[in-house]
Amino acid sequence: MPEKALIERYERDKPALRAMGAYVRDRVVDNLERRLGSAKKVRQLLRLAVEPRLKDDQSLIEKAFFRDKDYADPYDDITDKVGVRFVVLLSKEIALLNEAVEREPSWAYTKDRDFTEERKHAPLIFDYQSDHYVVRLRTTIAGGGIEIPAGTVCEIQIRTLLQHAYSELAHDTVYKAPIEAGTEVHRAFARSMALIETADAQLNAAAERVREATVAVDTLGETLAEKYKEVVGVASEDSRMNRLVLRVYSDGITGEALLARVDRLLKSRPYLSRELNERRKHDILCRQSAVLLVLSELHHDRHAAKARWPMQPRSLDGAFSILGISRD
Amino acid sequence: MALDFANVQISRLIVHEIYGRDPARANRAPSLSDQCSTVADKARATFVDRLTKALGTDSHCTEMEIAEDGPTSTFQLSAKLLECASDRDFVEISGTIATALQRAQTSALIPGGVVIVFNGTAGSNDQRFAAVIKAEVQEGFQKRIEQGHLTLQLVQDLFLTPQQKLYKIGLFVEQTPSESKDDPRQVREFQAYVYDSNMVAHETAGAAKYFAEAFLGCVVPKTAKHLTQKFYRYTKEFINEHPDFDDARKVDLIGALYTYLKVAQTRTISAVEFAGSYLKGAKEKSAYTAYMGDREFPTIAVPKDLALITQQLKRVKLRFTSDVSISAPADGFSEKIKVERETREFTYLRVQGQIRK
Repeated sequence: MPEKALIERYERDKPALRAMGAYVRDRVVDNLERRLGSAKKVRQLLRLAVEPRLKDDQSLIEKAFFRDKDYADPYDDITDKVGVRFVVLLSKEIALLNEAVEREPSWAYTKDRDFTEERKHAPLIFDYQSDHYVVRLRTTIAGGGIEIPAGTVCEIQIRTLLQHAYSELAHDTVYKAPIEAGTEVHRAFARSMALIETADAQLNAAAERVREATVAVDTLGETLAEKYKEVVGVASEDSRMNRLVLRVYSDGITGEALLARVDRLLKSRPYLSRELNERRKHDILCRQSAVLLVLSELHHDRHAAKARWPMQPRSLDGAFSILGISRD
Repeated sequence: MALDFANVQISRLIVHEIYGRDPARANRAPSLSDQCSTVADKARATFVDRLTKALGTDSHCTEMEIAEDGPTSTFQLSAKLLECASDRDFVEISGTIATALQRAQTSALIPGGVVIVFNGTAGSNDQRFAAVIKAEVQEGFQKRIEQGHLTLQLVQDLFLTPQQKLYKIGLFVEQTPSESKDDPRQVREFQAYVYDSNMVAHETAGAAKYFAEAFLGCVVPKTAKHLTQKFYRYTKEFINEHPDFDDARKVDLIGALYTYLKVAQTRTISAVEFAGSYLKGAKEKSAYTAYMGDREFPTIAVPKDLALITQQLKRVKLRFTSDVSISAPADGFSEKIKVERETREFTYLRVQGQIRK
């Protein structure tokens, strides 16, 4: 029986296929690490653990012989005997994965599904979305102690978490169901994919907004840290407290405006350097570069500055005292 | 010049102890130290923090007028502290000051306590100052770890805790340096400030005023009545001019101003205190503080002296754009007249009582 022969052949190939899956995963992760700069960033990018999976025997038989596909050579034509799936959070991150797959020299690739292109060609259709690659190993390599022959093939799926949710729920249910799904079902699934695409667009926009604001605050933080070093003569500590205080008081102020304010403060309070040097030994606020921002805000409008202080009132006592203000 | 109690640097400091009068026993002599002390690091910061709380911007200290400036007055002795060449001179003069304080505590109601005498510089201009703190001693608890668990230990000689009622401070700040170090100092060359919670509350005269009057030789300055009048005028103008107040709020605040000046049993007034009691939110407080600051009203407290405004404080008059006037006694004003509602054309008032025949 051709089925039995198929399975026997499959069993023989499984070790190499498994090794291929692991190899593909490792190469992509490695490429990402080099692109993003650290393993931590890669972990933040890939939201689900990447485990290569082998097609199960039953599925292979069904696909080879019983589904409506005309395979010349069923075994070789089925390209997803081993597959690796990468899941990210936002659609704008897909491009990073595409790059990691496409620039890998040890395999040749074809892109079998491209959801961005599919959206363009059929803008009114809302259905399964993922990027699919089929990669083919150029030369025989050793992976995990096993020889992976040249020409070994692996499918790579790249999708967002929301697309994955859709796929798990809809595609696998409808596509592989033994019944004809009614129009209502198709419509319902189409609606949910439309919603998913919308949610993704919103999330992308929100993430972009956050990124812009973070970059702004980060740059401000660097400016302040430099100023602190200049004024106090020692590097600031800049712990989490610093970020919190910066976030609360920075308010979209530019680096120049901030430096101007701090300089005004220093001019009216020339003894600041000495006070900060003494107090930093035991007052954590005086070790943060944000203390300069807090002091200039207090100096400018003490009621407003006090009202916005995000931590215990007592932790602001030192700053009040430095400016000679009695805190109620 | 306004007091700028920042950038405090301490030159010398000494701690003595004085005792209250015990009618049953003979008076105990003060325990005078023969050596100065140093405060450093966190102790110094905490000490300065306490001082700033009592003497800084928005504090409850008041400027006083120096009345006693004879050679044995606390003023002259404190001024001498600034010129001490040696620790020994400082120790001796400070002992005299502490003894004078004990002597001034004529009532048996007045407890003893710790007397800290110190001098240094303050403000962006490094003005020289001399100061005396009298701090009552209190009991408290300290946490201790005993055999692996937390327990409490009694501490019986705590002082200068944040409890502001338990300490008083007299401060002399040099405004102009003297020509020669030997001549007695002139009162006009200094400014005196007193922090004393007894002066704020309306307590019986004698016991309350011993620190500022008998000991420091200071009196309420003549400027007090002018400053009180300024406070009344500026605050009223602010209430009328501030764009965020609708008529109902304006009426409420005029009533509040009256209450604050006439009814409240405090003997000092300050802009920050009025703001804290009657204004809502940081925005209003900032606007008021800035308004008063622009008119150079003191940022510390001012002794209340209603001499120049007793007439104004009797009745409050509301004038309308239609040339209608309505007046009411300032006492209970907020209850007698209330603004119910206002439209662009009309103001609807609720007036207590009926029209008199």
